[in-house]
Amino acid sequence: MAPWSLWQLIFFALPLGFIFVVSFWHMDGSTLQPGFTLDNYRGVFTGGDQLSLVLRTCLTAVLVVAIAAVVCYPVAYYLVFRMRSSGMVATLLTLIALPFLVGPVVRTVAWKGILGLDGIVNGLLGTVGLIGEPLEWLLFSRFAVVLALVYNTYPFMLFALVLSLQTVDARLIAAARDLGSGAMAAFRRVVLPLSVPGLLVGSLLSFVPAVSASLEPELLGGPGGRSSANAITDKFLVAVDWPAGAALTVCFTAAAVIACLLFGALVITLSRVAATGRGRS
Amino acid sequence: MPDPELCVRDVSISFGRKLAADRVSFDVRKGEFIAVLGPSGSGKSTLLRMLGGQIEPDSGEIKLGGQSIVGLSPNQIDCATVFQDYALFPHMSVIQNVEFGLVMRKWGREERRARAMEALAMVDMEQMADRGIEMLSGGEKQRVATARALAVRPRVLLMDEPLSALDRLIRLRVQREISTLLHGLEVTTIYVTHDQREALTMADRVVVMQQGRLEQVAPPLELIRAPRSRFVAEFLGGAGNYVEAEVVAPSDRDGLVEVDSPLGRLAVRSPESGYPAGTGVTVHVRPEDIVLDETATDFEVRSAAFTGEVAEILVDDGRGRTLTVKRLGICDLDQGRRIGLTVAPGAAVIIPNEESE
Amino acid sequence: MIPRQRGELVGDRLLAAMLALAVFFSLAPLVILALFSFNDFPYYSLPLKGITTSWYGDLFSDRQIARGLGNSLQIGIMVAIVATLLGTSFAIGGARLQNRSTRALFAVGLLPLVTPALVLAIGSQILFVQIGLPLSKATVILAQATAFTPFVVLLVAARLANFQWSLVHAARDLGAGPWAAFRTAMLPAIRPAIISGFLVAFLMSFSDFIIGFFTGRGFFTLPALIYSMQRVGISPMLLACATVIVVAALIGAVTARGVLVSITQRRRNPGA
Repeated sequence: MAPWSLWQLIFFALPLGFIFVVSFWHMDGSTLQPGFTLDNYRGVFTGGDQLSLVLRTCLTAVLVVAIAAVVCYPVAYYLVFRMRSSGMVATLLTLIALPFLVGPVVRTVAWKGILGLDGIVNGLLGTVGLIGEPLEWLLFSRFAVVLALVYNTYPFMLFALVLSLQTVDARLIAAARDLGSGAMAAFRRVVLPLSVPGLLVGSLLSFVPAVSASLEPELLGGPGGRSSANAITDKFLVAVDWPAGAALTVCFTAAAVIACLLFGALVITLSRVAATGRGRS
Repeated sequence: MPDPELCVRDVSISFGRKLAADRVSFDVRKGEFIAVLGPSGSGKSTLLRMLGGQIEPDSGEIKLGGQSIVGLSPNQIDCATVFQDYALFPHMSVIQNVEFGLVMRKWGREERRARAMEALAMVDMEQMADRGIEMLSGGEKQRVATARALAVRPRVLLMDEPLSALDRLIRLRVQREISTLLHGLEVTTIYVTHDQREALTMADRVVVMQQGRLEQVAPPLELIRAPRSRFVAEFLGGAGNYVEAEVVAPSDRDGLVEVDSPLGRLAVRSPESGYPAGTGVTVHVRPEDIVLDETATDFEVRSAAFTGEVAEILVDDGRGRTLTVKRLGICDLDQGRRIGLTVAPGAAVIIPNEESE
Repeated sequence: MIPRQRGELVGDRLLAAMLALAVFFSLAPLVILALFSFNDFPYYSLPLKGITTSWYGDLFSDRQIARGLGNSLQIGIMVAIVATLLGTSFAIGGARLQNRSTRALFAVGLLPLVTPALVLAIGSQILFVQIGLPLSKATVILAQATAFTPFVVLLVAARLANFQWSLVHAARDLGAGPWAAFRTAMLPAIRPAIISGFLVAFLMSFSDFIIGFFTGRGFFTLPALIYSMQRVGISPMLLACATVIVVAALIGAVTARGVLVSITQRRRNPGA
């Protein structure tokens, strides 16, 4: 195990440490000066819309994860409990995972042509006669960003849920039914609580790329669609103010961790409510 | 006679080409303990799943308390199952498991706790009520599963090989406990097992199944004394002697049939009457029912072995077949020694021919 | 399998429809992309005019793209090799030494999975500049290998979860050295996972944009090239280029499928 752990120390721990350290440095003209100042953080908290951008980015990511969970859960349930052939399950999982393997640039390019004003969707809807004018909100909108991010992250959610549901013994469902539960009650009280760990892992794995995605907001989001990731990138590459960028990165990461924890708590609470039937009429 | 509690009529089901139940019919009276006995793949667990509503029969009728349950969901059927590997909910404590069926029946908190504790007390597990499931031993899990099923006071308790996951020593103890408990509660029970000892010691009546067919339904003693097929005789009795015989005279006053066999002329029992003279039949003679007559010389001893409590003697029947004889105590018969064999009237039984297949 | 009840057939149909929709959702954009790369029309939009392969002709004769492809292949293969070596050894070690501290170390080893690529990219850039390492293909390889090794770890560890260690002991017992024992007893069992780990790491690198964007200077990778080209408009040649990446991903996915089968089979319930 040693090689990778050592590697991680140098190329993983050190970079993250450097971001933290540099966030207290300052720029002297165009050169980076070590030191200790909180100016960069002051900049984040007072400098215009940066903080609200962080907040909005986190909210978008939470929305994306929630949609992914709602979409993936029934699919995972069907794959695990209703499909006979595990070869078929693997094939379907592979196909569903394809978007994740082609990378962000290809994905974004594909959506751009599909959603654009003279794109495929508008073209088809127009030809069929469903719409007179092309739909403008399809591209360069929050809708486009959320759609593309769901597309990009939901395979993570699906994999985590499938692996987690596989550890749920189908006989437990039979036992619940036998003791008088309807199909929904058996699901709420037995399957759902037992799959919460998978739901949490899936949420984490899809939240991370969703919250830090930079291409989708930049290319599909339009003028109002910018995310924290774009702001951070600008600080480093346009303004070339590394300490400010580092401070923003630290704040962004902290906010993302908090959002993630809150979302996890929400998932646990909701599933507990569902399981005990409290909070339902 | 009152209506049967559970009535199974001509129930059939097949999985692909395999018939798991083939026109199975039997009745269960209220409070009766029925064991369903058969080798693995005989369709006994499938039968239980159909009773619980987990699967639907292809054809036939199942009535519980006079009401048909075919097509109902498991939650609509007033049966409770003790599953083979218990299927206890791992994310709940012992008491939560036992309360589950009551929660589903929308019982109030106080009543369901009281009923659950009562059920746990029956299996002597009240002190473990707040334990997690993972902390329990196999035997304890078994008891919790039983309590969970009993807590809902089902019309019929279904048990699917409930002891198969336990090791042998614990199994015998739990077997006695369950038997005492369920007979005491007079709860109608269908108990699926492949272990003939369990079936014979616990059940009021035993349903013997093979390849989806019902071979015989009878009280344990009758199964042993009058097996209706060679399969039943072999499955319950282990090695026995099956000798070809010919009917000499049909039923006499005592209902015994006189046959000519390698063991001479025998008066044997017959589950069916009306064998005309001259019919060829198979007669089942239990090894312990053959008595050695050391004064006669009709047969030749092949070997004799002492196996602990009994001596097992193999005797040549004079027609190239070997008869097994068991006798309590030590036996010092040498190989080649000539002896006589007698069978008491009514000790052997005719096994009906299985042309009905 | 849960036995079906009459009333649940409707629910089943609904679930099946959702699955079909998910597969469609995953594939449709990529299929459309590929379809339009053959469209005899110079824009990524309707109408579909006819089939042509001329955009691929343009693509393969474009020197800049060829260089970008070369760079991406070069980096991808190096990243895949490094990640496979690091990840496989880590997974084997983690599977063999099952105690509390190694399990914690194993969890730490997976941390890059939940670290935003952007954050890692920025940190790596700062690190390389601060220690005086000029940003180049080499720095991209270092940073990408850090980000993508956990994928290899996951795949190999999943395969090792039901590996019988007695095979290795038996091999050692019969006189094999550690390396020979690994090669003869363990490698055949985990080879599919290693191969798919290699491919996944390669594909992650091949399609990566953000890490290369921050930690490389003076050259274009294929995704970076597409990124800068699409600013002017999505040309059919760009679609052809993207389609090549889709096909590469498809090949990788099909290879990884074998490992998925073994993972999905492991805990499947015995037939009802």
